[in-house]
Amino acid sequence: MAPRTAGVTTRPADRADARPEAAALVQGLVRSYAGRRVLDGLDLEIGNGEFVALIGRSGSGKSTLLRALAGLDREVTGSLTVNGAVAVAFQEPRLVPWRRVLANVCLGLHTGNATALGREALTEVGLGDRGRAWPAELSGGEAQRASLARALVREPSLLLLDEPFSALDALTRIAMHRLVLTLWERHRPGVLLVTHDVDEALVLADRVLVLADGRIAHDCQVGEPRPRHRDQPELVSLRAQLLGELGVPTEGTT
Amino acid sequence: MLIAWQIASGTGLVSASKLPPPSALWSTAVTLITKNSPTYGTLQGAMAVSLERVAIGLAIGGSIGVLVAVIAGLSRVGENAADPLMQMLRTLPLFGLIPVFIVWFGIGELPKVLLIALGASIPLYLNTFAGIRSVDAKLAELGKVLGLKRRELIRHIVLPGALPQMLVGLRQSLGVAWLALVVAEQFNANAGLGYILTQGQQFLQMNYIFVALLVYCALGLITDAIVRQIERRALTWRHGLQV
Repeated sequence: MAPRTAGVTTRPADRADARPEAAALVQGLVRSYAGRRVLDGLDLEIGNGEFVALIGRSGSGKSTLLRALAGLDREVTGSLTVNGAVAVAFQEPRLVPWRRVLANVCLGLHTGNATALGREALTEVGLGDRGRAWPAELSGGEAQRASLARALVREPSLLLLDEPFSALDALTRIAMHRLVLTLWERHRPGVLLVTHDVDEALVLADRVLVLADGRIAHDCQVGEPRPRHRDQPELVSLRAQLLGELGVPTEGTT
Repeated sequence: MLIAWQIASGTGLVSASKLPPPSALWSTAVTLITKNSPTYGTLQGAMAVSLERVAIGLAIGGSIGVLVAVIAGLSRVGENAADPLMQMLRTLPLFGLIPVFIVWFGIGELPKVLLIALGASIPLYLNTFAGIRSVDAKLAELGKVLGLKRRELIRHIVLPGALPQMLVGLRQSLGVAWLALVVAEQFNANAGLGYILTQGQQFLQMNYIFVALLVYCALGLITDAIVRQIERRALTWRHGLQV
């Protein structure tokens, strides 16, 4: 698919720069709110099928970056190239309340077999029998799964997850982590997971980025094979390192 | 309430010439239905004429109100063009318009129906406009992420989102339509509920006035119940809000 250049590009996207294996390539991204530069010349590359987690303190611009990648921010400047389709799962599931679950999943699908695809996606997230339900009848976890199905049915090459598990209870969150990994392994989109939860980032991602002062301040690979557990020694030491990057004292933290 | 009313009138506590007892009103209603008097016509005939006027007026006024609201609700330009106009029309007294409408549209059905249409268009306009503007911006954003076309956005997000408020507007419009009907039928009408009211006033027959008023109440109640039914059907997705 043709590269999509989003936002107002001050520097035209140089396609030679975008390596074909990149799901997304961001260069020199700048976004200011009231004179404050939230993103300040940010560079980022997300490989095809790569699971990247982005952490940062609140207000560090994590969501701003995600919105820019989703094409929701027109004020952003710099170069931003996404190869293929983009799908987003938001923090709140954002199901359209007056459309049944299946119709929500199929919303905006223009292929002839949209309904069949939607059913398939719902089955994949374990909601095969809930297609006729109204969004208000779903539990928080179910709604978030429906939102994931709606994102995946578009076969995105870049899946943006904006803290989608933060409002769920601990048990549901663990189940969702497993589901997301299963779906990711099956469909292999490039993923950018924005989260404030270091453990979540370490358990899920290939690579964890720390956003600070409008740029990627830290970039660490997580080589551990999945499934991972947060108490693995390798992850414990990585967590200490990341918390240090975030400016959180590690002693006494749980 | 009916019993208390009957007793109050029957014992002379309230003069029957001021408030006739229910039994007298009942016999008046029966007479009106069974006998086609030259002064009043029949009750069912009057109801049919009045219902037709309300239905046509509401259909015209309601459609215009919704259409203008959609235009004004979806664009800043539309809002600037339509909203001041509608706000101006909103303050016009229907009674004051009657001579103007007679000069413009004559004394037939047209001015009556248009008066009802004018009155009914306003609540539907105001509520539809407010409904469209209150649609969650996050859902509009979602539509953008999902790649919805403008037409799809209006069909799947904007109009269904505005529907609850639109139905509130429809109920208000119905109320206004019935009120406008009374006004419209007091002038140059020769049939209808308002005509019975006017005739009763001329011949000082309180019975007939009260029967007509009660029929107004009943029709208002029935039409409102119909809209409530539509509301329940159309808003089944709103779980947990059903009382």
